[in-house]
Amino acid sequence: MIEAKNLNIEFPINTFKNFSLRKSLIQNVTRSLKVGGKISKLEKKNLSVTALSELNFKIKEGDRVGIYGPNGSGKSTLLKTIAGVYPPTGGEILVTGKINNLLNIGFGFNSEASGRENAKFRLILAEYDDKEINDILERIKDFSGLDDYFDLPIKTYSSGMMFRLGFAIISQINGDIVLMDEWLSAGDSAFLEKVNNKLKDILKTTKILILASHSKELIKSNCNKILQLQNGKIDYYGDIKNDF
Amino acid sequence: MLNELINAIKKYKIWTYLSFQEIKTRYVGSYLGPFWITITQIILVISIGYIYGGIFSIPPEEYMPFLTCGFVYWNLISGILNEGTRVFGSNRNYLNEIKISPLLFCLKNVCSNTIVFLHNFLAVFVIFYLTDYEYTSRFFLSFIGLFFICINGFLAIITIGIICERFRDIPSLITNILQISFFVTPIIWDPINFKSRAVIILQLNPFWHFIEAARAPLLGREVELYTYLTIIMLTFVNFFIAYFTYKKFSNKIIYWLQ
Repeated sequence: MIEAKNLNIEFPINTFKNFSLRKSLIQNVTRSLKVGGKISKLEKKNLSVTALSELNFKIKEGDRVGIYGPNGSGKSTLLKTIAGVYPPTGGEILVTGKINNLLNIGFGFNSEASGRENAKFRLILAEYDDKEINDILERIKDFSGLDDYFDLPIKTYSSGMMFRLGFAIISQINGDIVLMDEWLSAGDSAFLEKVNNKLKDILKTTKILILASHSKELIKSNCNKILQLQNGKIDYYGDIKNDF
Repeated sequence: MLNELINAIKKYKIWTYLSFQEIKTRYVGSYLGPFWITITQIILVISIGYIYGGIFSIPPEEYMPFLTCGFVYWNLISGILNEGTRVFGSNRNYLNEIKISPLLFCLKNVCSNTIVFLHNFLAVFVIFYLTDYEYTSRFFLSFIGLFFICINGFLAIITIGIICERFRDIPSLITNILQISFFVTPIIWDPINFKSRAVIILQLNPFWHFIEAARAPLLGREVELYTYLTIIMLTFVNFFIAYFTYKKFSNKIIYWLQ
């Protein structure tokens, strides 16, 4: 379950030092924003961007929530806040359940290390024990179809191969709450089919899905609820209406 | 913070894996690999040993062991602190993607520098062999010094890492402080040879005591009780500074990294 109470996320802009233009700039900018969160002054001294402002929502088991909104409306920030990357700067967020973070499937890769080593590290991060790791590594190798490349440094990989490795890793890591930023797709058509099938499997079995997207179609076909964001605030949260 | 620290220590697999990976990556494609660290150390000690031994009029067989033992520990201290200035920034690709305690990366920093230290330490055996220096039973007491250097290094970089992310001028300042400290800490000069008042003032330098506690036993010298008491006191001070800095600012680290 995920519950947000008056959740606020503000990014300080420390490089933005006091200068005379500042006040006028803030006044002008805040009036007519079409993208992004409100730019404001934090603690009187520094500028800050309010990425999420006073969010209140509850996501229960079984919910499939689509996050929808224009660029800079706070979709990715909200996903990362749920993932625990950003601690709230105001209010709170309660998350129960293990997160399966598909936001960046290739994070933390070391280009000098082999596919196997990188996969192993990700499994260590996910706190699997040594016995499980060896089994899972074989499954990752099989799923990725990388064969001998699996033991070569990933700097030799093409971007499609990198995606294969990243996706194969996350396909073997379980969680209760799946976080996704747009549909994962890259690689050749054969692999893409595998990806789509696997993703559908994951989404079917997961307790909660949170999927951020610009695509109404994608949200309609995968979600039963929608959370619409505008300038870091909730516009609408509830079941998907027919006119969406 | 204490719970978080215990949790981070329990996840030793993560930070030790990262440490070994880092050293491996650094020497990828090299035959001698991390043993270059040892060789570099030996070459440096022998060359500086002859030059400065001449300047200070100390026979090389006495001076070189002193120099080696000082160098290996100084390299450890300055390595930890220098990398500590970007301990969070250089790991943003993790901190920015998943929920992970920043303390893990402080542990990783100390761990990888300790691995480098162990390679460096081989130079001590080589130089002792070349100069026929005698081992004493005190030798192992050196690891008490090593222990305190690691603990204090870890605590210091929590504070330094946080301050350096918030104020981007501090890393350069710390590099400067470390450079000066190298000269005012007895590493290339032996305080035994300088009994002036200036030396007493220089003992206010905290590095002095850590180096002394770790080096003296290797050379068969006795560590004064005063030195041990000083480093224990410094450890407490260091702990409280790290504790309160982390408690107050740990939630802001990720925002300062953006």
